[in-house]
Amino acid sequence: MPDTVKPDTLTSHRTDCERALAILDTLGDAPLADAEESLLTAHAATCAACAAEWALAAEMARAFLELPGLECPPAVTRAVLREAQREAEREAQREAERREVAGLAASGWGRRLVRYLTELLPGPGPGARPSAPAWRPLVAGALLVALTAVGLYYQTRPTPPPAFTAAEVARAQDDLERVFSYLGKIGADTGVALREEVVDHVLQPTRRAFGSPVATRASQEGD
Amino acid sequence: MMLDRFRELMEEHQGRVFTFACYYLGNREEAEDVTQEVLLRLWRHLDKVETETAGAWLARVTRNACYDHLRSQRSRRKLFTEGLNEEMSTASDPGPRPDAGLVTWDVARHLKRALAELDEPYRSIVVLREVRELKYEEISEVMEIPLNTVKTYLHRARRKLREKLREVHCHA
Repeated sequence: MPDTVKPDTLTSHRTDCERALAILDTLGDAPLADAEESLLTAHAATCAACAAEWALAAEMARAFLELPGLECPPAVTRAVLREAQREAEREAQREAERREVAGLAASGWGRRLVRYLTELLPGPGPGARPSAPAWRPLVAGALLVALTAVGLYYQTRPTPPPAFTAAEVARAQDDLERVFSYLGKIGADTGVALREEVVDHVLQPTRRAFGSPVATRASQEGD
Repeated sequence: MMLDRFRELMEEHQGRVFTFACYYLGNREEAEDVTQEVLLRLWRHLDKVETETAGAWLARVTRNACYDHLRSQRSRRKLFTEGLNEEMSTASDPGPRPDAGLVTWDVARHLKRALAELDEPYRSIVVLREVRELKYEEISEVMEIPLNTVKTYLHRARRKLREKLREVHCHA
């Protein structure tokens, strides 16, 4: 039976193809090892598909090698350098402004304030500024630090809850009165009296916010 | 001076950035835009980029920029389906070497087209390996994937490219 292919031969052939393809996948990384080359050669002699694949892989590897490296267009280089230069100038300008502000704060205002505070401190008498004792600038500095600390404290301390105006309290009272009169009306219609603890429960947060007058009046209304 | 250092780094790497972008995107104008963007990014991060590692840093940034560029281009119209723009495939190439056969030249043209049709991450890996000639380790670093994965992807990518070339060859 000349046309029949034995299963083990087919399997072996397929395995050889896979092995050949795996070798071809590495083509371009490094020259083929002798063993790989002889395996490929032997297999290509019996398998036309793999022989063609080998030729193609070789062409491809060669084509990759011949792909030219490209020059960056001078226009791109120029545009990038122009932008970088512009950004560098802007940054330098910003930096100069920052330094100026910091310098002003450090050298001008700070020093002036210390000098002013030094002069405020009690000394030997008028006209004694140039010969003021050495401790005075120190005390002035400490005063400055203390003032800064107080300022910081007031700036960062938690804000107290807002105080209610008389008008707001009156408005709240009116609202509550309306609510309780409505509830009282429902109670009268249905014959179900509003329980005291329910009224208390509703009024607790209000009491806390506005104080007892609201609660008292509202409770009375509820009754 | 920052600007001098930048100029030096740019002179050294700009060609590689542009080459990668060109082969990756398959379009010269877009490659110019991406190159400009990448080089400006280098300028803006100059204080964080060391001279020794600038190449790897740029390779990673270029690859990411190209990838983002492609993703932002939902309508890729002619770019990949109809192939490279002619300017890139002709004007920017020095032409076939005298010793290169006609067949090789055709393969090169089809190869560029096939490359532009390749999906990610295969395309990045092939361009980094075959065009930028990076080592596996360097590709692994640029792509932030394990070394063995790089090998697997590259081998798979080569097989895909051969398939595409074979299709073209059969149609021809």
